[in-house]
Amino acid sequence: MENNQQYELIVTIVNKGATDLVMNAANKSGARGGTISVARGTGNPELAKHYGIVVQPEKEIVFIVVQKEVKDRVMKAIYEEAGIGTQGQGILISLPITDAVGLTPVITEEKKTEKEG
Amino acid sequence: MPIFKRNLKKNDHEIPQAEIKPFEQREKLQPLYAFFTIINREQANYYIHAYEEAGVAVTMVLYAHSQPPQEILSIIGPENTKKEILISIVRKDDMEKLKKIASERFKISKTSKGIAFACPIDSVGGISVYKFLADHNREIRGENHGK
Repeated sequence: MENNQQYELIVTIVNKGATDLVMNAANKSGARGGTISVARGTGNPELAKHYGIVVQPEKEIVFIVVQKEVKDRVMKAIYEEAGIGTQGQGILISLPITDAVGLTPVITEEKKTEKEG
Repeated sequence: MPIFKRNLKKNDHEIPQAEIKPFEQREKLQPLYAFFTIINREQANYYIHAYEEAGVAVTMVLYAHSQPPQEILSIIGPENTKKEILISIVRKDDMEKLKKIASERFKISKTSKGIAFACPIDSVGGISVYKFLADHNREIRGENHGK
């Protein structure tokens, strides 16, 4: 599961109407955008009962591509704002991206000063 | 008496604080995969139930359209462009069962044809979510799905 690539895809499955919480948290912590899709959620009833998790059928999925270095920060922020213990009941996973095209690199203040200097 | 007090203080400092280790260091983690299945509309229910029996905790169904080239579209017909995308979270040791379920179903007829693939999951947000997705207590319960 070792991933040496630059980007990661964060997939957040939340209850319908909670995508704003996810996007706000992600934007504040370094992500720059996301794609939202409507989905139908189905959970294994035995496991849901055993682990005390309710999977509602009306779901929305947010796909966010982030740089690997900010992934943990973004995931933590989303977990705090829309995680399993909140109204959004979010399930978060991240998948490695092997190649990405069309994403402009983030120019941080440090890099800016390096370039100018 | 003063010596006793000094000794007590010294001993207090020497008591090692209980070290709290992160979950991933305390427990053996199961690698997780996102298993994608792309199939024709109204085929999802079979897969959802079969995957659940194989040990999958969560499956998401997304609705989509395929856009084949014109020459292929004329063969398959426009009604077969409506698709469903299933995203199931599965433990690595259950993945072979899912692959078998999907590949056997794809062979049944032309309309049940689809594609399936798996991507490794790098991280999961929250211990309770991980436990649910990976069915962390399965070994303790002594269950063995689909075997």
